[in-house]
Amino acid sequence: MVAGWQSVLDRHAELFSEIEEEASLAIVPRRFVAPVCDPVPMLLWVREPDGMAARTGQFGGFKALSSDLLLIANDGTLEQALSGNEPLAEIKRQLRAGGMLFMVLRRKDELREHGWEDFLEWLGMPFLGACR
Amino acid sequence: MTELTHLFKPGRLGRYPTRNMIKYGACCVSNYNTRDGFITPRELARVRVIAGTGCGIITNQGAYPDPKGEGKSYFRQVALYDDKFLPQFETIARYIHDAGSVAIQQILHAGRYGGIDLGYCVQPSVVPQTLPHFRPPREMSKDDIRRCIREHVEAAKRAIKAGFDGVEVTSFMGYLLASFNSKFTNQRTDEYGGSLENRGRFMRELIDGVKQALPEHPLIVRLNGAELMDQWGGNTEDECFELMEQAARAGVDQISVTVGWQEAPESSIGRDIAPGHWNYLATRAKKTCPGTQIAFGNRLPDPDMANDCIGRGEFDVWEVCRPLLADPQLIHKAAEGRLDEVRRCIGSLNCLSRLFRDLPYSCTMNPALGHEVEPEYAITPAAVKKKIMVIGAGPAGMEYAITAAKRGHAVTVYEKGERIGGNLYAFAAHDLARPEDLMSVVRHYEVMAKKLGVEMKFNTEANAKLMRSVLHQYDVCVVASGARIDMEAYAGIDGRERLLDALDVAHGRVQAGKRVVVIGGGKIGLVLAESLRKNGAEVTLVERDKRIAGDVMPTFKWRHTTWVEELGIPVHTSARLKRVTAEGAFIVDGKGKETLLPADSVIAAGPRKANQELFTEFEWMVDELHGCGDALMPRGMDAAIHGGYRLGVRI
Repeated sequence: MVAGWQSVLDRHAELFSEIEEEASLAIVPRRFVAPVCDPVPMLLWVREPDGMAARTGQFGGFKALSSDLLLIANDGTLEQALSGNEPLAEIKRQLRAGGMLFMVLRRKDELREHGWEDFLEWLGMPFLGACR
Repeated sequence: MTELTHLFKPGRLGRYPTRNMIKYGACCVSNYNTRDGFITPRELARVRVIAGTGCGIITNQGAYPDPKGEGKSYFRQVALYDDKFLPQFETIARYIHDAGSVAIQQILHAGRYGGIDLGYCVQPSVVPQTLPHFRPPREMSKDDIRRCIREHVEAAKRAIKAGFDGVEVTSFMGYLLASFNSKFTNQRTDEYGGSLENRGRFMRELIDGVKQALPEHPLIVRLNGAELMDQWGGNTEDECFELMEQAARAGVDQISVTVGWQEAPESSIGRDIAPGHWNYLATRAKKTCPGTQIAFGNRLPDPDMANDCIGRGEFDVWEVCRPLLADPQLIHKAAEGRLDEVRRCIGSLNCLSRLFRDLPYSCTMNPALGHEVEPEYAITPAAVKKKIMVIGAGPAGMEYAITAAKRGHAVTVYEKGERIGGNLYAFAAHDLARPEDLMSVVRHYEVMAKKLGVEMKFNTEANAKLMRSVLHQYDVCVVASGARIDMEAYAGIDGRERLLDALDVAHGRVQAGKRVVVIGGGKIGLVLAESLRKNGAEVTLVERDKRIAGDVMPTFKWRHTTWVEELGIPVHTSARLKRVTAEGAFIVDGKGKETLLPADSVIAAGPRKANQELFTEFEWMVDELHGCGDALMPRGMDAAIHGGYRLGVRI
């Protein structure tokens, strides 16, 4: 799984080129998501000097999470995305279909400072919302 | 006279009679006020227009009730947490009463979407935001909840003190009340969370508090019929209706049924949603709460349709706002059987696009909106009646023409095509959302040109020869000749003679093949690419920029990117055209890599260039020479309409 996502991140390096070192996005199965919980495995996309790296980590609830962004996935959704031709496009599709949910753990200006603007724009996040 | 008998029958809200079954909904905060919550002259002038709309009930835009500003969601939202704000509220209540309507003040505590001037927002539970626009959450303690209810009650009392007849508390779009009601955001384990009964406790206590304080005055709540958040753990529609029952039992006088949250993954009120789509929610509310008045208006812009719904008993009151932003005379026109003259809301959501950038709202279709305080924006009789020629019957030219005609000028429009609309007509023909909305703009100009006696000369190319033939017949010439695709921008491209012009394709003057490459991922390229793909062509899109849809209205960008994905249109961004051959288009990406995109048609959809040649040609041939719309600077329909109007009120 980690190797698979590493390959996806490498293929889309341009989306993450502006991200500050150590800024990260966490991906957690929906059933574990709570403000505080017993540690469960999570997937992390962390910016390292050479680019975005896929890693595993421990999720103890979003209150203690140091990541900037949290992607919550229904069971099987992440695996399904990874098995397709365009995993990132599938994430985008799942966000609109409700199979995944995106949570923002920093203020907009902090996200911008940390370099997430391109990725968020690509996901279409600034323009989501029923009021449209 | 009107045949809309259900809409125009007298009604009642609490103890107050209403002259019809139409309510002006507080759909949008204007952002016209001061940063610290005081109402400005700009707002008062705007509200005077709202008061004159003819609605039986008029709701003034939402005021935040707390001094900290936790409830404040918009940059220049009005406040009602202190008596110091009352003088302007008194003026507004008086305007509404003078116009013969029932005056309602909305209280808007934005909760999850609030705290715009703070570093946080308040919520029943800490559930992180899903949209970057909003502030990180803090959980409300029980003391906070009690204080918040008290602040709502005090704000309600203050509104009545200012002269309003009743108040409305809104849970529209995920505001505080909605986030207590929803299991997505309410994950509390105390008596305010958990079961539906507990989640509704905040709402019931709030209703009870206001009703106890103001038993003689109507109280309205706006509640979601559908949150559109159920896939993310929000309330189901069944739960939404159970909460409505709770509100009805708690004694509210009217329930206003709304749809969706700001952060819902679906849209609810944009152009891609068909009018009437959400009516079933109002029908269900009426059945669920038979003893409570039900108001509804989401994506229901048409008075005829609303009249029929009321006639069938689907809801009681038509709640309308955006259509009245587009045309404040809508109700009067409906009452007088002049619906053909109505300037329709086209659902472009320019209003919201601007709000989310902390700008005052404006309306694509109503250039005077927000400028009511400025005499320069009013249509007044011209001091000198002039003979005016307009070159081009697109939105800019027609907007100018009808505005000038209203002022008493004699206007003739010269159009090289055979109809009104210019490139908008072609754009509408290929629009995947709702072509009828865009066509309503064209129809409005057709009707008004006829009614105002604007002379239309179609199939007439404007050039120096034409100008010589009419020399000294006109006092003013307005060049509104639009823009074209700048084919000269491709001068260095081998095989450029093979390129098709996107506007020729859009107008049907040229037929594209079955394998198409569109150069330019702005709105012209996108609309054409989507339409061609939908009609069976294989289409590839090439864009120089990092992203497509750069010139698209922010509230509609997502729609194009989604269509592109759904239709399976490959997109090459940061790429430029290198040459065109019989095989197709050769493009080069940011790293210099060349790729052949096989195609039988390569369409240039950008850049655009203003058609300004006539300015030079006509310079010494007419007394006054002006320009408006894309002929000055290619921008889009809003700028064209607004530019045409501003010139129209001035000359």
